[in-house]
Parts: sequence; C-alpha cells; structure tokens
Amino acid sequence: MPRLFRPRFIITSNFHAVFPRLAHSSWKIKSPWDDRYKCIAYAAGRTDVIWWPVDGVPGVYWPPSAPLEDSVDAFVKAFATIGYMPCQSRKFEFGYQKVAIYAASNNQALHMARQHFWGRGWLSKCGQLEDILHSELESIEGDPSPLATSMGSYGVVNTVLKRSWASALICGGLFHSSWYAFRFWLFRIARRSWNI
Amino acid sequence: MIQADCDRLPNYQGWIKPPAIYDRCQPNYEDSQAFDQAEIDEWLDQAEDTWAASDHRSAALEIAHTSALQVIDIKQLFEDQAERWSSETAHLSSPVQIMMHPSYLAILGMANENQDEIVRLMIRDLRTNRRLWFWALSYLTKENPIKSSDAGRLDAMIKAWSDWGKSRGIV
Repeated sequence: MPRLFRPRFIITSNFHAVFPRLAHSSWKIKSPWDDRYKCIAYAAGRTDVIWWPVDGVPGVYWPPSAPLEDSVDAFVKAFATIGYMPCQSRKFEFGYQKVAIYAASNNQALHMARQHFWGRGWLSKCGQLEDILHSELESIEGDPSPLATSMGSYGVVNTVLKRSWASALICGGLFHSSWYAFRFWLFRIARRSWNI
Repeated sequence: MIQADCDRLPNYQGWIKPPAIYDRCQPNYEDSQAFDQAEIDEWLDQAEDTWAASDHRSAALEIAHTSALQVIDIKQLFEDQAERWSSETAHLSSPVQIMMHPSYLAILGMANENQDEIVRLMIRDLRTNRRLWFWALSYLTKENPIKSSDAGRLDAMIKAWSDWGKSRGIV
C-alpha cells in the first residue's frame, strides 16, 4: 500500500514515540503516510522519488553532479544544483525558501526539513511516515552522537540553506510547494472519514 | 535446535536418541512438514514403549514435544525481524541508518545459511509489504535489476525485483 490514511491517535503516538520533543511543541499532520518519497526529496520539492547519496546502493536517486557521500557538504552541493545557498538565519525571510540539514556530530547528514512557504514552521517528511509541520526545528532533534544516530536519532540542525523565490520558480519549487498544500486539502476533502 | 537440545540430554542408560531430523529441517515455510513427522511419531512411540515404567518417561516426552515445537520456522523468524525492522526505522531516510538496524543485520545473518529462501522471502515481502530490501537483495544476489532511470522510484524498483524473481522462478 503506497499510501495510508492512518487515524490521528495512531499518528500522534507514533511520532511522539520517535520524537519525544514533539509532545511539548505544536505540530500538524500534512499528508497521508506515503513510502514513495522521503525527507531529502521532500525538502527538494519532490514526492515521486527517494533521494539519498550512497555510492553502490541501488534504489535511491541523487543529483549526478553532487558527491555520492552522506556528509553535510555533499548535501549542500546537491541542493546547490536546485538553487540553494548556505545562510546563517533560520528565521523566515520574505522572498526566500529555506531548508535545514540535520546531522550527527561527525557531520553525517541524517534528515532535512523545508520551511513553510509563509514561514509558519518547518515541513518534514519523516522516512515513510506522514509529512508534518512542526513549529521549531528543534522539535525533532535528537542526540547527535554517532552511536545515537545509528540507533535512529536525527541529530541536530547543522546547516540552513536558502534560495530566492525567483530561483524556486525556475526550478519548479514554487509550483511544487503550492501543489502539495493543495493536494493535502484534496486528501481531506476526498476522505472525510480520515480522522486527523 | 533439536539436535542442540538432544546434545544437552543427560546420558541416561536406555535413552533413545531422537531421530537426527535437524539437517532435514530445511527452511521451506511452504512445507511446514519439512521434517519427517512419521519418524518423530515412531520415536515417540518407541520412547513410550521403552520407558513406560521409567521415572524418566514424563521428562522424555516433554523434551520430545518441546523439541518438535522448536523446529526452526524461518518464515516466522523473517517476518518477526522484518516487522520490527520496518516499524523501528519507518521514520528514517538514511539507508545507512536503516541498514544498521539489528533486525536487518539479523536477517542478513539468516541468509548466510539460507540465502535462496531469504531472497525469496524478501522479494515476496517487497511485493506485499513494500519494505525496502533492495540493498540486501543486491548484496545477496550480486545483481541489480533496477534501471538507473528508475533509481529512487519505489513502484518501478519493486516491479524490477519482482520481474527478476519471476524470471528466475523464485516467486
């Protein structure tokens, strides 16, 4: 089943078990469960493919010009291919889209989140689980030690990237962001019984 | 498992060792009677006749029944580990993190002795539960039927491995 419409209480318990800090912050469900894309693709504005840079591992896509390694630097270079540049501030800036890279203390990238188009929080696709909108980047952070990350922690925010809306328009990012928001609205209309 | 239990049996005089069925317990989940049930029954009957008056009778029967129940059901082991693996890594995106999970490594370990069966179970699980066995399958079979243009596209990747399994008569 590529897409599942799980009820709210299951989603909530699932997320709180994995990300304890979410229980103490505001967050929203923004999509059904879907295994066809994951966090990096979602941050890049894609929901039809899985992105990850691992050499010799079949089944994942990575921009051909970016290094095939899971370091933060490789992620920065991969996102440079769609117009993102490093920036210092996590705050919303009118006219820019931002993404954040979560990493372990050894600089191994583990997760990415994309800022809401109007700055109302950060959108994360957590593995195969539902997309969520969390108010703070820290909500899904965990222990950054390599041992903890090998056991499933996302580590901490390492780098924030941004691109202008003009750049996003050229790369199709503006269209994708609008389409995902519209699609979620359609899901909820089409499945009124979906208890979220 | 049975053989291991038998090895732990005290060496009572007059005990009859159970049939050496372990080697024949091939992990073929479709054939749950892979071991020779008739041989076990015969052994149990023989044990009952021989030790009908023995103090060890009840202990012998208990061990015999326990051993029979402990026949390795590799499908069940696979499903248990796969379920645990997928539920505990569902929030992860990094293949490195996903593949480091103990259950994933346990399944790869199971493939050391039962590679064909594990590959078959993986492909079936890929089709039914869409769990990401691509890396393990490539590692075990040394093949990669996924076209580079389909990399990252889950439905296409599942179809590629499914077709690969069909072409080799695995599924």
